[in-house]
Amino acid sequence: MSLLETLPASPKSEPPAMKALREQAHERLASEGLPTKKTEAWRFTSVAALTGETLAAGPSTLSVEAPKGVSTVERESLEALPAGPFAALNAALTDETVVLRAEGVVSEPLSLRYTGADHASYPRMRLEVAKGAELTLVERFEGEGALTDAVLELVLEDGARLRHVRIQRDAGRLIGSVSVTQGRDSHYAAHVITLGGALQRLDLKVGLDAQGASCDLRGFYAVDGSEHCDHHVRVDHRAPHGTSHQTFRGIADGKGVAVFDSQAIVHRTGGHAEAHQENRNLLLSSSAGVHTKPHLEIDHDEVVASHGATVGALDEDSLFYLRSRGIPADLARGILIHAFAHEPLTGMPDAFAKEVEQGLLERLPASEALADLGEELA
Amino acid sequence: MLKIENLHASVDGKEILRGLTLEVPAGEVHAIMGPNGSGKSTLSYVLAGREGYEVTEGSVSFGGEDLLDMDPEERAALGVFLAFQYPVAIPGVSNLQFLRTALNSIRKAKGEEELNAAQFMKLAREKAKLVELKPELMKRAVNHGFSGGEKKRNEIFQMAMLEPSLAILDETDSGLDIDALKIVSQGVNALRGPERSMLVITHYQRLLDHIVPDVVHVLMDGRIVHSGDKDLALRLENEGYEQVRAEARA
Repeated sequence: MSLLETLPASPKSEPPAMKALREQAHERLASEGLPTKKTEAWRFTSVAALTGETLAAGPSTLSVEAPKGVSTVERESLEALPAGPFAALNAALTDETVVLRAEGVVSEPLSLRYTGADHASYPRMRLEVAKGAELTLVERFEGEGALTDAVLELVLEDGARLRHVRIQRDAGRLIGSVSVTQGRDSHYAAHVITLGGALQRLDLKVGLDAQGASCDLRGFYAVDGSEHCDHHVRVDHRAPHGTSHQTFRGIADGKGVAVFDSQAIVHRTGGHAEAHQENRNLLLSSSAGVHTKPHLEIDHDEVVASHGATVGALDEDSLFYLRSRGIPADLARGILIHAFAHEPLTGMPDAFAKEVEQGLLERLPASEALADLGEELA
Repeated sequence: MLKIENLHASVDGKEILRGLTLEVPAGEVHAIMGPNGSGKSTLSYVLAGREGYEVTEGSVSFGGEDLLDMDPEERAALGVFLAFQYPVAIPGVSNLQFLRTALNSIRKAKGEEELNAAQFMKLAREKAKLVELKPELMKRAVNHGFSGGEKKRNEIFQMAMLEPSLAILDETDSGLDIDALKIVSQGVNALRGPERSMLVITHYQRLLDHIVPDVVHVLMDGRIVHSGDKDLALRLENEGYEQVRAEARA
């Protein structure tokens, strides 16, 4: 039986802009199906549990709070289908496509909230940040979704600046795809925070498609128990003078598994590029697992690039130093893990940093004592 | 008082301390000098409770309590403080928050009231003057980006804040220029008192010009081979360890 036969019927409402996409999606699903462990990009992440019934679409779980300066727009047709099987599944089954456009300098954040439900949902959203516009976008994934397969398309026009905070605290299954297209001198800053979840997968793709575009991608993830998270990041330098930074850190405890796969590709057309990748992981238990693979592909001579990945335990010297000063072992561990997580959070707007901090603290040893530590000393 | 009896300790199966016996009465400053590899740093780590140092024989008590049974944090609560030879940098943890957590953890363990932010800051400002630690360093991440001298001052600053009853200074003089050495020594001397024992571990006699010890011990091959007054340090410097040991045997 092919995947398409097992899929539930297409949703009743058919947004006209979706028609072409949906056809492409069906074609892709028919030829490729859902990934197995033999699919390179899904080697460490199994989606075997996602079968016909689990995939049946229920009502949307997305709520949007748009500030002044952001409005809904109609689009005749949508851009090409993003790569990946779940983007195709989303296109095949989504019943809504929200297209928003931000103009000017928008002071309040645009907030998207996805509440996981006991049925699958396929929210789909496109956000355009107009020429010279500035916006903060906050996405929150909460609850315990049977499956949330969310597709987000971000278009930054020339000189646009977008700060994107994505907080994934859905305890269930969340598969997300974010694709970013950047215009000339535009800047995209992302803070992707993944705290647990049975299965969390994010494909983040950034195209530096016009001269002088830059992106700064920061992320933090934490898994414990039998949680599983997988971040696939790809940055394409397709135009000259592009800059990309990737700073991701993660902690794996219990039997949790974290996967980090990142590519930075400097194309022949992407000279004078600067591309940096860093991924550091703390392995807190011998049963936890981390798979990390940052890689650079450079097809041009004039490039400044660096990449590195580490997986290690908590530093014994630091732990002993703290304990020798009277700090109990649990709290000392909490302090060190907390400090490790700090860097990817820097630059995040305060309100969200606090929210993430809270979520992070709840997962750390000696969390109460740690929270007291946060009190400012002047 | 610190009482070490016939202490044997191994690292990775290799015996480093081989029957070390030593007593430091309350209020006294004892220096331990010895060549490289004699077991100086091992002794300081064993006293502070570092993992990986296996005590195979002997005993260590402080104030009548068995130290060897305790976790490092329990020893700290009892009043043991180790000034590290190589203080650890901990990015992301502010010096002040670290120290307040340490101080309050110790106070809590002793059943004393914890200090609030204002009380703590008042104390920190006062103690920082002892070692001329710049206020901006107190706020920075622990030892992160500190020069060698700043790290050692920070150790003594921590010691001043935690007010230990047994301070172990592990080669606190290493890497210091003479000005920094004087400042650190002044800080240490200001902390001398009738209730506080100090064990000053060093490779060089120079430090002992500034922190004058009551007793000097010579540590070689994991044992104390000779003890004497402060002049012994000078003789070690001039005549060398082997000469002093040979005379001690004779």
